[in-house]
Amino acid sequence: MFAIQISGGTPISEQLFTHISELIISGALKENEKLPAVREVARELAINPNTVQKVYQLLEQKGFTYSLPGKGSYVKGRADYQDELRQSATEDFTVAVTKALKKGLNTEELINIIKNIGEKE
Amino acid sequence: MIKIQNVTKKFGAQNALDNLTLEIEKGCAYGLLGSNGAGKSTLLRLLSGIYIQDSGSITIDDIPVYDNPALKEKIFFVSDDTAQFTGMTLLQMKDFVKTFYKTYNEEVFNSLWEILKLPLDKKLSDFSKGMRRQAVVICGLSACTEYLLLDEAFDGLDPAMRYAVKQMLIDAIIDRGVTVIISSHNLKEIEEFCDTVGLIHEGKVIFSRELDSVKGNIHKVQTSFPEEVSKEDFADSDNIEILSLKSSGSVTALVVKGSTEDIEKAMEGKNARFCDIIPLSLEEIFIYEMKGAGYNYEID
Repeated sequence: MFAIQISGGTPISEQLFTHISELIISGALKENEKLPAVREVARELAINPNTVQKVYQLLEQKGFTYSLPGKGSYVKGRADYQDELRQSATEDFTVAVTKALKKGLNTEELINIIKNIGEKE
Repeated sequence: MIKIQNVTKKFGAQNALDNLTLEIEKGCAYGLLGSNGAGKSTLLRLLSGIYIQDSGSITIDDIPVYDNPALKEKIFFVSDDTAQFTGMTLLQMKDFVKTFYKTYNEEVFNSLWEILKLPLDKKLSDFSKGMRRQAVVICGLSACTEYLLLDEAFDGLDPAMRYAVKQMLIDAIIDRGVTVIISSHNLKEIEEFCDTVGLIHEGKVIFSRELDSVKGNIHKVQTSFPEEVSKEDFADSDNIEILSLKSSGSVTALVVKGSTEDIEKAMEGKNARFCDIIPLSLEEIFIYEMKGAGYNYEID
């Protein structure tokens, strides 16, 4: 079951989406594994089932899951959501680079950081 | 769908509702927010046909509510004051509900009763406030109406009971697509349980929108500008509205309506040195919107 701490100003749907997509990306939820039913999630977290439904739809739209009519939602393979990962990684990276540049690092220094990390990975 | 159009309701010279217009979609869980005396209970009473409005129209699926027994069978109202049933036992109240609502379902009653195990043959006047509330809520759910109106329903319930009642409501939403309208002062509860929220103040609607679009759209911003910046300086910024701006030394704190991207752009336009953007909780949104509506609570 999903363990999210509903808090702060971030919409619940956003928190739930982030949580489940992270579980999928990390491999905690495996390819073709079934997600818990909407009712189960809504009851467990005592949140609106329409919210859960919306998150499930978004997961499918982003390529993280597929649904079998009458059966539920299942996790897709990595290849299916690779584009989505690349895009969100690019966005995150852009934000981080912009901040670093503002704080006074120059592009050359940033490239060196990237190279160092790349060698370690 | 529930349509409330230009409704005014007066008690003496006081306008409880003042030309109020509001639409509530079928199948949603609607959270009704507002200060004390804002008109929430009056609105719910009008919706359930207990009161008649002085002007305007209230329809459910395009049919006027007042004096319409067939339509009233589709609505169950859990009042914040459960005094009307206190002379009855739970068994008597159940039978009363059964005769009035054709959709009443004994199986639902039994399964809910199984969870709460309230005494069946004791008068409700001998129940505690919370037990009385539970009794009316399970009768309301057993009536299996299309619309369930709950006035401060979670109040007076302990946390475990609140959780149980919410689970019952969640089942009713999934199984029957019931439309739930719930008023509360507990914003956290509304935040978790509802998908649409409306804020009313002095008998008028301040906003009524999907919860996600309310919450995702108002932010606290902490930033620092090289030069002094005032609210008016943002007049030309696209898609954002500055609700408040306070500076202390070189640090400026703002509350801004708009998306994270638009806010970031506007701050950059003023050469902000950094920019932390945090979405507001529903409680904070409530306070800012109420302030905007002239409800000043601040004790400086």
